[in-house]
Amino acid sequence: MPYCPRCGVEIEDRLTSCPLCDTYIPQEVRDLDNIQRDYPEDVVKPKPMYRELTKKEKRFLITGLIAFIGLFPIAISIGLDLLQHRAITWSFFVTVPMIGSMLISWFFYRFGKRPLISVTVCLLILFIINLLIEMRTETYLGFLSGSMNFFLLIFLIIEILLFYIVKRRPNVLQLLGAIFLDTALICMGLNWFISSNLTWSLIILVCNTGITVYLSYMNRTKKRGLNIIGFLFFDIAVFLWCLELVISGKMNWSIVTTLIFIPISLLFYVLHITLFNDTDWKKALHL
Amino acid sequence: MSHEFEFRLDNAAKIFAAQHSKRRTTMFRLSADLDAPINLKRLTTAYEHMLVRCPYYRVQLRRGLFWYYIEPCKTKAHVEAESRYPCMYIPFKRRGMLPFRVLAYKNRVIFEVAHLITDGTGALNFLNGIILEYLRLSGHIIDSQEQVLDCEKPLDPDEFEESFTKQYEKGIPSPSRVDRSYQIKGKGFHAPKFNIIEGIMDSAALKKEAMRYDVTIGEFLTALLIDTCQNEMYEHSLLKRPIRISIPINLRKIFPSKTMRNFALTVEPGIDPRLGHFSFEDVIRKVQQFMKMELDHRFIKRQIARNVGSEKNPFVRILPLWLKDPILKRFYEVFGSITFTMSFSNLGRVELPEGMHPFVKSYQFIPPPHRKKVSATSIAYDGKTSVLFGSTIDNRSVEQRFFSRLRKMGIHVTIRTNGSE
Repeated sequence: MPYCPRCGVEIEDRLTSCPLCDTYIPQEVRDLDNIQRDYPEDVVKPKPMYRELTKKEKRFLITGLIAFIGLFPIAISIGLDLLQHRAITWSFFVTVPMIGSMLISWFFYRFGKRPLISVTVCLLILFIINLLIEMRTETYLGFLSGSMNFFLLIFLIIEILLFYIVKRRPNVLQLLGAIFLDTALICMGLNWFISSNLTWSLIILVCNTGITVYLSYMNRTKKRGLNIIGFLFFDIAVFLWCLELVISGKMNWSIVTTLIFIPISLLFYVLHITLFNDTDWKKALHL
Repeated sequence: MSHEFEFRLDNAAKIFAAQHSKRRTTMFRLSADLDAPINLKRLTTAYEHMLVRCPYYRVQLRRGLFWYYIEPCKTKAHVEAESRYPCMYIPFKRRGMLPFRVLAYKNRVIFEVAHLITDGTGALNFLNGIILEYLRLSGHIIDSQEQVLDCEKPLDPDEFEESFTKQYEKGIPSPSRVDRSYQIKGKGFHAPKFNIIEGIMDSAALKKEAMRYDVTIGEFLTALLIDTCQNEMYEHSLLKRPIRISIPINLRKIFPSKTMRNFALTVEPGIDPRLGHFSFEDVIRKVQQFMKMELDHRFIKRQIARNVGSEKNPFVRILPLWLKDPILKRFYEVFGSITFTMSFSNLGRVELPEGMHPFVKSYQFIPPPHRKKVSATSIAYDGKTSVLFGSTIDNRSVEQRFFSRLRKMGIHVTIRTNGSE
């Protein structure tokens, strides 16, 4: 075993430096007691036919490829348009989406593993394309009106969902819950933009919130059994109660459904605790 | 299960259960190198036999309303492959998770266990029991000589007694509280990174050096650690603070107990550099005197009275677990871990039956990872002593100073590490 000249301790053969002081121990010193070993020459790999590209070269190559694939149709359409009309007319509607697609492709290549950046940039580019086309066709009504409202709403909701996915890394149940809640928010936004008040979207909100709460319960509960069915009845009771409040603003028939569903729910919970739970209550409650 | 054993956690385990996290796993490792590569199938059978022999270990942790409790579980024994870092997190608060694991690598048998169910002595007994059973399954006829746990012997109810409560005496005054101590500086690693540096040296050379000062090997190594920390502090810290080394004491040597559960407490010998510089000779005398005084059963009973007394406090008992858990965790962080500079667990010399001796080559003992701390252990077997440092900080100067000092004393040290370079 080689010695570290600084600490004076023996170190393992496999180490290139002393684990205590980081002093480099040259190969010759490490090999002093291994000189007689045969070097396995047949293990040496044959030289590859092509040199492996460096990261920088790969990036340059892919950027060039994206630019070529994008610029080629742009050049053809602009050329034809100029020949026909001596001005840029229809080729504008080819050029703008093509440049947008090139940028989106590049961003997905470069930041594909970071969806918060790539998807956000993709949505922003789509927003700019939409804006440019609206301005060109003279259908642009202002920043917070017309199609811009819907676009900004969807942009915001997708960003919230994306942020949740990236930061919390949800499982399938959590993700489904988030999607349901997100859909309800989109519907509320649409309803507000179309009729300036919340009507039908509140019903969707109540439905989707009920489903999200149920999925969340399924996700959080550690021991799934009859308690899942019990919670379903409880969830339905609360959902019907909220639904009637949203529709008619008062409670009539939902009281009846609550009186039916809540005892059923309690029954399932009691069955779950007494029959299918192996908890020894004497132990669980010991002081 | 034929035996109805205690479901309450022992006094020490209550703190360990609260502290358990990915960063502070409370897991420690004991491993033994055998003379031949491990046969996985045989090892799994030996492990299974030991779990039947020791039902008090085949348990899962459950959350009660006021306290955690343990419950027998039927999880099958399976041997795992060696992990990248030792003492990695086991989510044993989940159902069906055993609070320990057995791993194998080449000719090494590894037992990693949460402090929740046992201490170093209990874990060593269990590991030796597995090895004995493994060797028997390999066709060797070995008598346990009452030195290690034997699968063929019946279960002794004393093995799962709660010895802390047994030794508790009401009305004994608590020991005085100690203030903040010097902490080794360094940038903390993210879990599960845990750097291990092990120095292997000749026990006879170490003993000869310790005998020069008329102290035991444990006292000598403790004094050397304190002196190393003192030098480190003089070089890197402007603010002087007391240097204390936390040393777990096996209480089975002080009180009669056969328990395989936790039965250890810590004493903290140290020096206060604010009073002036201490020479190595001074440090050795301080440690020797401290150990003589503190290892008295009356002094130990003060600590037991404090720990068990606080557990029996009605206000503590009535607090729901979801409140108690974070409070205990925070309490340890604020008042527990800052009172000592580093910990040093000395398991001493491993005694094996004669029949097992030729098959076991060496032992290794890795301490549990502490948040931003360096911990050391020592274990001796077959004329070799292993002093191991487990660190969760990027500063290795304590290890470097310690082993260099030993080297300057003329003791040959061979270093092993889990680092790649």
